[in-house]
Amino acid sequence: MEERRAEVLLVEDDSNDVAVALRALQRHSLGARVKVLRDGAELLDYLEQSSRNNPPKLILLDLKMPRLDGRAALRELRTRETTRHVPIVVVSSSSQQSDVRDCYELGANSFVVKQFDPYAPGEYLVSTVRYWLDMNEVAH
Amino acid sequence: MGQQTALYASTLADVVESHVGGLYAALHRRAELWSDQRQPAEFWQPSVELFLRENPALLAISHSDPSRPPLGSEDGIRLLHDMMPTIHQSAADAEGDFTVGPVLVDGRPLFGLRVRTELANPPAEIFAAFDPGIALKALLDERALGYGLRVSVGDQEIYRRVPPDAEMMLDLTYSDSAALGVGQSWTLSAWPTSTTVLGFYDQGPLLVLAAGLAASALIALSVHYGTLAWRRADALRAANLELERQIEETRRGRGDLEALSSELEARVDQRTSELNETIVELEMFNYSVSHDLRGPLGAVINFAAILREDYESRLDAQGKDILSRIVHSASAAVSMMDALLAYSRSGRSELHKMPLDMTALVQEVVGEFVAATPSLAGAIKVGDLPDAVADESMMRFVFTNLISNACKFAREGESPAVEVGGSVAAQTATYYVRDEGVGFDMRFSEKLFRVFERLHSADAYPGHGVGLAIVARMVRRHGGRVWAQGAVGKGATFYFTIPVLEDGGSSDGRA
Repeated sequence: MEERRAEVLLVEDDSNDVAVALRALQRHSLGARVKVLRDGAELLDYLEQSSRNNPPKLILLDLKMPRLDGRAALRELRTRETTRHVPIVVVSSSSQQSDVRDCYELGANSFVVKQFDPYAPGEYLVSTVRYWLDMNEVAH
Repeated sequence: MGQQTALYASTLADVVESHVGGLYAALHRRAELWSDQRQPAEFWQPSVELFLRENPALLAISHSDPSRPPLGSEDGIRLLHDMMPTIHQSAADAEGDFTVGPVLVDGRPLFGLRVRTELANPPAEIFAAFDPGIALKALLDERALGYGLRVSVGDQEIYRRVPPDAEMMLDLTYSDSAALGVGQSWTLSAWPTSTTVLGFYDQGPLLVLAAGLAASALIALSVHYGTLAWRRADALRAANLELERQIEETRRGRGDLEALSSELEARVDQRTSELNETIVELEMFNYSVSHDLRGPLGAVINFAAILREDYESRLDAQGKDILSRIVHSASAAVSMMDALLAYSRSGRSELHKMPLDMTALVQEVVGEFVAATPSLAGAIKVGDLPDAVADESMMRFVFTNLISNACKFAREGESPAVEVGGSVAAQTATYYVRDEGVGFDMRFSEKLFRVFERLHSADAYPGHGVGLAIVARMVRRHGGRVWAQGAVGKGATFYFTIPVLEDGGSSDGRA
């Protein structure tokens, strides 16, 4: 059982983004397992089943998703005891002021705009995840 | 009328009686004085003459004492003399100390008066010739206005006054008697003159006439004024109607105007709301296009990059070139999307105005340029700029963009030479960024500030053609304006203004 391994949840409906993110994250040893969930509802279902004793170390959350979108998921995560203190980074194509503000108000720890670097695709996520996992280490 | 004439006659008889009686009494008193022996003889003449002058109806007075000569007019003394037998006769018949006897002397009716006084010693007698005609004339002439008068004693007429118009009315004579105290009865007859009669008789018709006239005048007047009033009322009513019509018309006009105005307002409101909706839609479209296209375009970049990284060995030179173009184009598209998003944001983000030290702000901006590109040190000169009340981040963007452009469009092979300055005039702060670069054709100066418009090729001068559009939008949102001057090969100067606000107002105009 890889029980003690940290878990990072990637909540993203866009398969392109998932592919690029997974490729980038897997090229680096982050010491964390990445679990992909397709939308907010799937995320909450997953947390119901699995997070009794092992909450995720980090949640990467897209905003525009079918069923339960990023905002609603964020609101829900912050009301639940088990995920109240889990770092949540919103990863969105939007750089809209209102989106950024709303997410922080709903309890996001960070807001990252999706970047397209033709020389290092998805790399921006690696540094983000690394940063928050390190923060987790410090916190514990 | 008869009553009135009778009353008139009676009254005049009373007047005659009292006057003649008064004359008799005065003469009686005088007789005692004139007979008093204690009075000097010299007293007789002036006293009698004065008395005669006071009573012109007395023609002459004589005394029984021969030392007192008769006095009066020569004719009067003669008449008195003629009358003496009659007077003595009468006195013999009469009792008392006063005797009046009518005497006709030369056809002239006169009274002879005798006054006896016992106070004198020996008793004396005074005789006087009295012309009642003169007395009555003096007495009645003035009072005979409007009447014919006749005074007679017995059948002897002693006074008659007939106004020229009185004759015809003789049958209207009314008479009264005056007892003149000495047993003589005077009959005073009076009759109204035709004028007076007219006055009586015509009073009715006159009254009727007058009343009629007055009434008809009044009626005429009232009719006249009534007519006038009606006419005026009609005119007024007409005027009123006209006025009401005008008012109504005006009101309808105003109503129309108001309706039109409110319709226009409604239309303006509708257009405004449509415009706002359109703007919002455009912004949303802008945003969603940018946002939604950004993802797929980003995927193109990402997978092209991954393809290049992971499959590089399997691609020949041409394949790598094609992949490179794909990445380049997709990156340009994403970059444009980001620029468009920035432009969109510049119109929607809130304006946070505050007093700014523009010189310090520009020096900071220049410091960043120099930090990023050390070769620019000394290339950008910053003069004294007027302070402004503005949004700091927007002003920072504006100067960054303008200075960036000024450096970017330097002439080939030359290092940039940029000057930033400004001034204040007429409540407006004007700022400029001048360069000595490639300049531009003034014919296209308007295009400079439009989104995605470019005056130079993107290959030669990278950029999206959005920066100046954002600059213009930000300046306009501050209530200022922006323009450029330049010539091809001779540099360009970009100007913009910021209103100097006393109140540091926070208007949030949207460009």
